[in-house]
Amino acid sequence: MLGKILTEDEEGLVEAILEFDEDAVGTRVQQLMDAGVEPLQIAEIARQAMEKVGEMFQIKKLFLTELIMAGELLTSIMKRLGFTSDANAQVQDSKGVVLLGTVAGDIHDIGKNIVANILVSNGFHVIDIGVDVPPVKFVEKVQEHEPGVVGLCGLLTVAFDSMKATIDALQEAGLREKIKVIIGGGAVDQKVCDYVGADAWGATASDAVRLCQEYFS
Amino acid sequence: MLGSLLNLLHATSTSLDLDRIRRRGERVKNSELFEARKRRVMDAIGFKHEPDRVPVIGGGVNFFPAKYAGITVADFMYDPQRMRQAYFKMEEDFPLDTTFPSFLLSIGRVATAAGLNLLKIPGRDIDVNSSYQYNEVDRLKDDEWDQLIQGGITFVVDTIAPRMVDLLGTHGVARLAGETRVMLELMRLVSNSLGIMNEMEARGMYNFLGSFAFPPFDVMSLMFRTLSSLTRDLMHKQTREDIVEICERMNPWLIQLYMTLARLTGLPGVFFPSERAFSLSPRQFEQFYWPTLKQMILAFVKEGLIPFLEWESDVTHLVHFLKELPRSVARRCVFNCDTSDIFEVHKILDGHMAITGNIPLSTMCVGTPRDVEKYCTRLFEVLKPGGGYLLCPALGIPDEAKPENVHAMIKFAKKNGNY
Repeated sequence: MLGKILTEDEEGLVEAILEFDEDAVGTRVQQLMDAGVEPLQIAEIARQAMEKVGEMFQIKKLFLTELIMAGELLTSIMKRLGFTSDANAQVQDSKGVVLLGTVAGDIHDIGKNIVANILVSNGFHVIDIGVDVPPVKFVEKVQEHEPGVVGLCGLLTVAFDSMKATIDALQEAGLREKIKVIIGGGAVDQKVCDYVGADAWGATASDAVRLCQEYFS
Repeated sequence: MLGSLLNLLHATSTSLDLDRIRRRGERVKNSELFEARKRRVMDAIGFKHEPDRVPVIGGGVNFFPAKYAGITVADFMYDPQRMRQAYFKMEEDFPLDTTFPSFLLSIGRVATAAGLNLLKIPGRDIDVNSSYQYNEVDRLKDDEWDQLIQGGITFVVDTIAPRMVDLLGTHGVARLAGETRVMLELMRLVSNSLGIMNEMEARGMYNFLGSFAFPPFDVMSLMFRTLSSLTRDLMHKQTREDIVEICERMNPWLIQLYMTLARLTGLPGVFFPSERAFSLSPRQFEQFYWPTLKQMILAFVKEGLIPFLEWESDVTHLVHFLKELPRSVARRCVFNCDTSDIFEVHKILDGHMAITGNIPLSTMCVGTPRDVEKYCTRLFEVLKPGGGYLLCPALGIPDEAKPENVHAMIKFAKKNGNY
């Protein structure tokens, strides 16, 4: 089902992930480890299952809770396999550096966290600077980390003006031309994208991955 | 001298009479306006054959009155006088058929007196111009599910509630003093709110939403567990069963609580947001969310209430569940469509339940009056015929809406909404 013939146990892991049952996933991973399958091979199966989850989410066969579950499962599988260090790829090994934050006046972080997890699982190095982040802090952090992409998140309509203020501040600091700015969350759409002066907007975490892949290619 | 005095008295009495007549005339006019708005809204909800026109409503308005009047959100939540002026300024300047009574959000003083940490409140926890936001923390810890199941309401009152309201964790004199302050602030809030409601009616402003309700799953998610934690809980058989059980056990208690609130204001509309439904698959919704939500809707309608179902985000994949409600119940409800495909929703509901919402918040905040008109034209083409439709932005008038866009929406309904 994932482009390669899997053994019964490997298929079992994929099924357990797509059933979002953490207990069953744990059992399946243990069975594979006991059978001597290399941790990297198991991680690859899990990663491919995640890709499948992403595809199904795009076509609305799966929904947000299941996307979060899949992210949680991937993290727990990696831990179980002994990849306990930060799953975030090192800057030099990553596909690119993405700086994410929820803009001033807004403390919502669910969407931002999902985007961060999915970007990390797709090989990007993510710097998450939190919620209710004022423009000046975005400027400081961009200067410090020199990301290729900056993602501005916000659920509330108050975020529209904060996103605009942040992009204006990046412009004033002479940083705007060096980065791509993407926005997402809640009521964000092309109209808001035009209003705030971002390069692109996304409705889902998969959109964020697609945009980052484009910008870093 | 005497003649002059008589002339003065005559002039005064004539002027007083005229003033009385003018005021009486206004009262009659306002009363007619009130009745016309009420009839229009109720006809739309009940799919009456010939409502005079499509009602245009504010929906879940929060702090648009504050932004429009030029005061801060914190002022609106803490200062009853400034809130009142701002609220009536909005009501006067934007002749909506009905809107959410956002003066009920003036809870700053009560929340601060009680030490309510369920919300981040502007001026207290976040910027004075931000809307209040949920303070999501795990008030039910990972290892406390068993205690919740065994202790039930006692565990909620003794352990979870103090994690939501700081005052409940205090004792002795501090507790007594705090409770007294909360009671006084609460009485002031209720008295102010009832005063505004009475004045609204006298001024011809129709308000049918008098209370609010949350389904048990949202109560769990907003008060007990963060969305991330509750999602993790859904990955384990035991906690899945616990969630179902807790929702079922909470439901009768919540229904009574919400009905008490509704009786307090005497208004039929219950503002009934579903904030987490969108994140669930149909299978999860059917298992964890819908059974208790459905019970709530049935109970409210039986009590004579009108649930205003504001389902946030895109719930196109869940709307078909509403068709399980008997038509007599569905036609005492309104479905408020946020970012769902409203044309698909219209097709699915097929005259079962009245629909409102869906003008994108971005259009209201950063679009132009022309953008609003264009969007309303599309909505009217499909949704107006046959009734059962109320014009409204996606989740009510957003805080940052441009006033000219709100005017454009109202003007559009008045110009094109007649049946």
